[in-house]
Amino acid sequence: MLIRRLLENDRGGQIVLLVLLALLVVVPLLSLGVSDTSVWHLSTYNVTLLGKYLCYALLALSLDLIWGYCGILSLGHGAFFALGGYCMGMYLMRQIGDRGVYGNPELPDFMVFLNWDHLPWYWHGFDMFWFAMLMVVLVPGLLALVFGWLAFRSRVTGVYLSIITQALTYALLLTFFRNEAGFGGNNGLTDFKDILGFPVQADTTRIGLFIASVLALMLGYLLCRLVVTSRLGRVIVAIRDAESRTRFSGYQVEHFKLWLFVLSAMLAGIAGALFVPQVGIINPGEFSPLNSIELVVWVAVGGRATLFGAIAGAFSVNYAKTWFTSLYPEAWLFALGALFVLVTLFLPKGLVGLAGQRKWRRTPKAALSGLPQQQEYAS
Amino acid sequence: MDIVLQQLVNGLTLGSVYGLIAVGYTMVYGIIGMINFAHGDVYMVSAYITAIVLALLSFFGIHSFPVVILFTLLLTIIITGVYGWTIERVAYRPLRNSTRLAPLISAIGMSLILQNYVQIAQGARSQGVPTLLDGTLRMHIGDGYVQLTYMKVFILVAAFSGMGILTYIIQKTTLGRMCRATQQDRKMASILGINTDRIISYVFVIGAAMAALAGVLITLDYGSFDFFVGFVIGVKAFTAAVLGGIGSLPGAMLGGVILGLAESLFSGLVNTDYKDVFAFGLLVTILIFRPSGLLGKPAVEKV
Repeated sequence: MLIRRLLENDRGGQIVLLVLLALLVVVPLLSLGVSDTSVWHLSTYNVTLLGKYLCYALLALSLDLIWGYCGILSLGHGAFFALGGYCMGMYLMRQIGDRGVYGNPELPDFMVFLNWDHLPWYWHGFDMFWFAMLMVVLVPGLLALVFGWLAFRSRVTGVYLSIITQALTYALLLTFFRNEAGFGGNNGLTDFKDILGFPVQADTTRIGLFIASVLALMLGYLLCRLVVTSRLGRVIVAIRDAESRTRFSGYQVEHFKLWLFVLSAMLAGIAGALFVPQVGIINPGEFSPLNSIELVVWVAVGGRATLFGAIAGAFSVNYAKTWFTSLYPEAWLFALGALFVLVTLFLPKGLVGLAGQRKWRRTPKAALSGLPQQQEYAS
Repeated sequence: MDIVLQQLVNGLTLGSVYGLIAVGYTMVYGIIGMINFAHGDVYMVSAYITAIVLALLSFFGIHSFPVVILFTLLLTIIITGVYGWTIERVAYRPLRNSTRLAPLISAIGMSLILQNYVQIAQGARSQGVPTLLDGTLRMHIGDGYVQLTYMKVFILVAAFSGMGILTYIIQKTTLGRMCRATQQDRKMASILGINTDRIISYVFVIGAAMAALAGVLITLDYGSFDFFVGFVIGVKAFTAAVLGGIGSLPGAMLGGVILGLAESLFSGLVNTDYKDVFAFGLLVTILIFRPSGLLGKPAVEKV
């Protein structure tokens, strides 16, 4: 019932969820059910690649929620993703136990290497899965809460907010690079052995993680839909379009923004936590401002304020990236840059705008998401 | 005591260069309201042009310092200015009437293109230039001393002259008046007969020229650079522009100097490794208490 109500007037969302459902059935079948020699066999490499895209899509979704619907352009959203990833990484590190190179049952290898004799306090508890999972949402959420509370309360908006989010992720990048921060420094956390007792490298575990990623993305999508179609969502769009007017109408603008920012950070954290066991490493590079900028581009290329556009953008840009890197390793960034310029020049509404343009010609009323779209507002 | 003075002097040099680059961000933001993400990479391009001009001059056997520095500055500024003009023409002007988001993305694309163009054309390894100006100025204060290489003295003089010339152009000349008019109200300015498209082009050229000045100075001082130098210094300069209040020209210069001073003092007195963390921490703190920067005017919104 609820799902039906959420997906009403959301053709794009229906398609996305159907595709995800299909992936949920087809991918495990083709990977495990078909023999290695068949042309239909899907290699573990490709399953992991798809899983990675799914995590990126969830991340893009979380950004679209605040940027597309509330006009908060965060240029540091990768920080929440990376924090979620580090929480998961810490759990996986603790699971290695005494199977590390140094065989220390208590300390991860890099700490033994640095001659540390005990675990730092913030590493305690991460040997328990439930605790780590709690931290995956709590750590990014708490950071977003403190940061957002300070920023929104002082009415830091627009480009100023963008730059301080970028400063935030850059500062975290530099901190996590330090060896004494206790997160493995430059190398980050890697060489994971198992998750919940299942070996991380095994095909079946990979499929399990893939399924978890699909489910997380589907639930994330429905949750975002629930937010933006509710009355709360209407207030949020009103804040995007005319912040002061909403404030004068008696709404506590800061509370709405803060609430949405925290929710978005938590979604990003979950995406990061699913990402790490699939790629097998988390290092400070994930905090790099360039990653966050790329994330903005996924959403912009896909089409802002549509939710499903963010998912389409994350998939298509990352697919293009993978394709180009393998084809012309030297020129891929060059091509990516050209892609951004060309898409903005010729597809101002993003990829989903392509489909939308044709639809609008027939029925001018049918906006993409069922919500009022505004042509121009602060970037 | 002398360590504080030494770091103050170092910070002033660093800050004046940040200020030069910040000018490009702040002027572009003031006039068309976009963050020119490719600006840091324009700076990076100017570092390469500096090295090429230097190599050409030494190939022709010109070694006298005043001639070399004059030619390097002149040629680098002109060529980088052409880059600035071209970027605006190709990537931003066609998007003038589209959403505000569009030029932002095309700027990110432009930045990637410049980085990779340079990487492919010049190689990924870091490049170097020889030292042009040797020697150190040493001032005794009490029982300690403050020392300053001649190159740093040159940077200070050149950077502050550059800012002086720019302030003069913006405040006193007809071109400057047209720039200010376009910044205040683009539509009205064009009704009054100002070719605003051309003014916007000039602003990009001026920004690129300032970045080129910074590029020459930093390249001659540090001696080495690679295709990625534009990013970090771009982020810092942008921070400086926001710190001073984006859109405000004196703000950009002030922001640059404050950021440079804060960074040097922190690295000299507390910890070098966390100097960037401190710089960004400072930015966050200032913005929380003064959301529109030090000299920026709060945006007035009609409701």
